[in-house]
Amino acid sequence: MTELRADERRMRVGSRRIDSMVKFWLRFSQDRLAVASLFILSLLSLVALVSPLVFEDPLTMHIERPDQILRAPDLSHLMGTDQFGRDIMTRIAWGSRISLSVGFLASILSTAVGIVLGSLAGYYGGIVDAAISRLVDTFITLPRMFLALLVAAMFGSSIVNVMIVISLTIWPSTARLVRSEFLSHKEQPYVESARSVGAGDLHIIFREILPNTVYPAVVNTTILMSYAIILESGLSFLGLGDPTTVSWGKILNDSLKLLRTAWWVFTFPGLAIAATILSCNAVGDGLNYALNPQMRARRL
Amino acid sequence: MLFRLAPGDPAIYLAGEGASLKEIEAVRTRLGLDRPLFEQYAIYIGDLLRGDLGYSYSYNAPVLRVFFSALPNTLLLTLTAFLISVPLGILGGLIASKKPHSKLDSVVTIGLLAAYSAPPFWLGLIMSLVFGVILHLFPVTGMVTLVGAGGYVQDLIWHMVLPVSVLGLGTAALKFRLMKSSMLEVINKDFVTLAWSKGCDENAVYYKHSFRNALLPVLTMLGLQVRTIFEGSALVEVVFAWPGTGWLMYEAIFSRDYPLLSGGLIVYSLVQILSSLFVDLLYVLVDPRIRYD
Repeated sequence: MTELRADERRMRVGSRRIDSMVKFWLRFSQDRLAVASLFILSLLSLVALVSPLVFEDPLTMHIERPDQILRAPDLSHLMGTDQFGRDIMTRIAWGSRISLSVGFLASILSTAVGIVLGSLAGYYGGIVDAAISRLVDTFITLPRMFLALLVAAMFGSSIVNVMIVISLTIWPSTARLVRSEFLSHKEQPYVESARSVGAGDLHIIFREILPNTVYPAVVNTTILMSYAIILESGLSFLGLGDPTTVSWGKILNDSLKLLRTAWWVFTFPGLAIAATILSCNAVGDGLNYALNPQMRARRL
Repeated sequence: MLFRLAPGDPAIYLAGEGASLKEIEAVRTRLGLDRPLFEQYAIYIGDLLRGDLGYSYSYNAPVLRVFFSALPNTLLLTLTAFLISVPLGILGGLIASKKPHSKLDSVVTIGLLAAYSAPPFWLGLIMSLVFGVILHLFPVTGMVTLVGAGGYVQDLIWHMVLPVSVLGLGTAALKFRLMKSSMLEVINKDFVTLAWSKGCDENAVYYKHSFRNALLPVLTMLGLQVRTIFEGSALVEVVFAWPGTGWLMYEAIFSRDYPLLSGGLIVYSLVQILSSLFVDLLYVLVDPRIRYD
């Protein structure tokens, strides 16, 4: 009898969850730009995933093809070839693997760091808050691009380093958001009732308050992803990316000397970057609208 | 401190290729690089407090002097872009907020979103291709033409057009966006309805009652954009070979000029702090409810 009831309850919770997901999607899909952007991002991720199966590896690509050098876009090379006869579309497809994974992983990593530090600062207050807030202020003041440039120049620019450097420079905004959410939530009755039944600090932070306050941080992740991709492409563009890989910024860097001769070499990778950033921002706007009813008036 | 942990020895770089061990040692002693790290650090902090940012290895001059010699060029670029983008973004956003969801509005919004999304260095490349290489309208590199070409000021402005528009476009787009959404938010507030109902005309409602209230979030962003515009300027300077501080830092990275790099980072941070302070003071002008004691 009791088992049945527990089962029934579980089902109800489950259907409620599905219900809220449906509601979320209905609201999100009102924003056509956001849906289109989500589609573009999925498409690019798909390209990144399958490119090893479809395109040849640009690093082992045979580069002495005198007849293929700097060909304008045509049917055999849809985006043309560069000064070594390498197909631009192949390089962009392979570059998406690096650019997107740097963007994705760096934004996840920095969101995690921001959430942990922000919740600690907001929950404990006092000296913990003071220490973490000063750290946030310091990182917000430092010029992001230069910090990334310096660290990449000094410690070498393997792809892991680039990812860590970028995460280091973009986490503060999430920490600030989460901290202010915690400040307004920690005095609320549900926190006190959790404490009164004996919940520990960690349980209250991560199981009680965080689920209620995590939405702004989730929305912010898409913005951080766009920052990360811009920073990575900026670093690679200046020649400070990982020299053993191909990324969109790297293709742009290689094309710098071709400004007068081959427009296609730098036009397409830049378009890829711009489309990705635009999509990240639009998806962020859409999520904001769908997840946070208070912010509805704020959208475009 | 961090800078000295990095690989690469500036003494080797400075002594030049093919220098003997003795010469390298001499350079190292002269620069104080042979002393223990913490001693170097203590000396650096002491100098810093006295306003001395150290000595640039590669330019053979004090860091501050090297940095300030390039700063006017960067300021010329960034301030012009900033001054153009402020009225453009704010007025544009204001006008766009009057007729939201019209066809023109969606086109402008998506266009500006695209301009904001494109990395500035790529926008620079595209613009120099279109206006410099294809149309031959504007020069694509440097600050002034070396020989001939009319008056100095005219020549300078001619060289500034492309980098300034690249920098201004992205920052104006962001201001436009925020101004518009902020206006749309304010326009639904009760006090605006009151203004309409007591018979104010459209101009009074928009410019007197709503505008100043909608301006606050945009002001906050202005402070943050100072950093964005300096960072953007660094990359744009590299694209257009503009001899400013961004170009300086770019070169310093490759010559391992640590004092110049760390000094530059400190000066940039100071600029950021000062501009935040300036914005805080601007609040008082815009919103009389805010008072600092």
